[in-house]
Amino acid sequence: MNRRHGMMIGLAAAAAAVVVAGCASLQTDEADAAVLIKEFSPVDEYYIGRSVAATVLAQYKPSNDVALNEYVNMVGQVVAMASGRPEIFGGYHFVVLESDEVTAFAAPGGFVMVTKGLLKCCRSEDALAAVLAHEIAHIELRHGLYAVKQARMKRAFARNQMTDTMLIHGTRNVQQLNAQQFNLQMATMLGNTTFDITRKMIRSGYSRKAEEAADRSAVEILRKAGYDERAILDIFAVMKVKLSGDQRGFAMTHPAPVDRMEYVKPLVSADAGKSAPKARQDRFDEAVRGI
Amino acid sequence: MKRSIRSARHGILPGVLVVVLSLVLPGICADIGGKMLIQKRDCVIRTEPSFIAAAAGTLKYHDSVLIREEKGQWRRITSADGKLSGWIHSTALATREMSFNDAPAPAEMKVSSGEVGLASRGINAAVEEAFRAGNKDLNFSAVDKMEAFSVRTEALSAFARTGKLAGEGR
Repeated sequence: MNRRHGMMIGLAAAAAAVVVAGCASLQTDEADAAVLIKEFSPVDEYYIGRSVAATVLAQYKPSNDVALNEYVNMVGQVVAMASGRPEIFGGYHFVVLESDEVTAFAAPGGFVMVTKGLLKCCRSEDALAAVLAHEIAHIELRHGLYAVKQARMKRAFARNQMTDTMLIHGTRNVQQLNAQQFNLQMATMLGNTTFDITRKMIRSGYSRKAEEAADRSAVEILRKAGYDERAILDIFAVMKVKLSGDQRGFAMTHPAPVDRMEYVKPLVSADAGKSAPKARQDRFDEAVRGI
Repeated sequence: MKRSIRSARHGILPGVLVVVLSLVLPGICADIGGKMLIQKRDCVIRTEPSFIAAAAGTLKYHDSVLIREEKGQWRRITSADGKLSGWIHSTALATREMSFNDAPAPAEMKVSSGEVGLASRGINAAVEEAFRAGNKDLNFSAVDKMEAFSVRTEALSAFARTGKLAGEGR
C-alpha cells in the first residue's frame, strides 16, 4: 500500500465516521424527544389538542350538517376502537370542515377534522375509514407532540420541578398570587406549544417518515376494524388526480400520492377477500349525498 | 486471563438481558392483583371485553383499580372501593402517574382547586382559561361542540353489525 492509498483510506474512514456520528446524533435527538414526550400527561395532551383544534377551527369553518357529522363520528369510533390507542383521555371526536381543500388535521388528544374536499375523494365508507385511520395513527404515534420544539419542552418541564416550591411557599395570599402567575406562565407555554404544532400541521406537514408510519399503521387499523385495506390505495389514486396542480392542503403537507402508493402496495393483500355489504355502501352514499 | 473474561461475560449477560427485556416489554405490565390508575376522564367499564358491550359503570381519571384477569389487551378490574367490576382496555390504564404534572399536589398547597386547576401542575382548565383570555380569535366553542357529541354504545354496536365490522379493540 502506498502513501496515496493510505491517505484515501484515511479520508474515507474520516468521512464514514462523520456520517456515523451524524446518524448517532440524529438518533440521540429522537431518543431525547421520546423522553421529553413522556413528560406530557394525558391531561396536558388533551388541553394542547383543544387549543390546536381551536386554532384550526378558527381558520376552517366546521360544517353544521348534523347527519354528516354523526356518520363521520360513527366511522371514526369504529376505526379508533381498532387502533393501537383506542382509549384516550377525552375520547376521539370528529368534525367535517366546510372547505374544498383536500386536507385533514389530527390534533393531540383525539380531535380529528376532515374537509369536504377530502370526503369528496372517498368513493366508499372503507375509503373514509382509511382517511380517519391515518389521522388516528398520527395521534397514536404522537406526531403532533413531536412537533413541539425540544428546547421549549425542556424549559417547560424544568420549570415544573420548581412548581411545588413556588406554590406552597408563604402565606395564603402569596400562594394565590403565585398560582395566578403560574397559570399565566403555563398559558404562555400552551400558546407556544399550540403554535409549534399548528404551524407544522397546516404549513409544512409532518416528516415523510411520520407520514409513512401513519399510512402503515392505517393499513393495520383498517384490517383489524374489518374494512377493506385496499381502500387506502383507492383514495391515493383519486388524490393523485385531484391534487395535481393543487398547492394547498395535502399537496403541500403530504408525500405525493404516487409515492404513498409505492410503500403501501406491498402491505396490502392483493385479494383481501372482503366485499363490503350493500348496507355499508348505501349508508355512505346517503351520508355524502349533496356534499 | 481467558477464564476471567469468560466469567465477566457471563456476569454481564444477565444484566444486559434484563435491560433489553425491560426496554422491549410493553410499557404497561399488568400483573394480576396489581394496582393501576385510570387514564381517561370518564372511563366506561364494560360487562364484557368489547367496546360495544354494555356499560357496568364509569370511573374517573386517576381512580385506582385492581387487575383481576387479562384477556388479550383487555383487563377485568375491580374499583378500589370494591363496588364496581368489569372490563377495560389496557390503553385506559397506567401503572402510576404519567408525569410530574400528574402527581397529586402536596397537602401544603393552600390554593383552591380553581387557582391551580384541580391541583394539577400541568396544563389544565385554569391554564386554558388564561390562554383564551389573550386569544379570543380562536374557536373554542367549536371544540366544545365537537366534544359534546357522543356516540351511544347501542348505536355504535348496530352500526358495526350492519356494516359487518369487527368493532373490537386490539
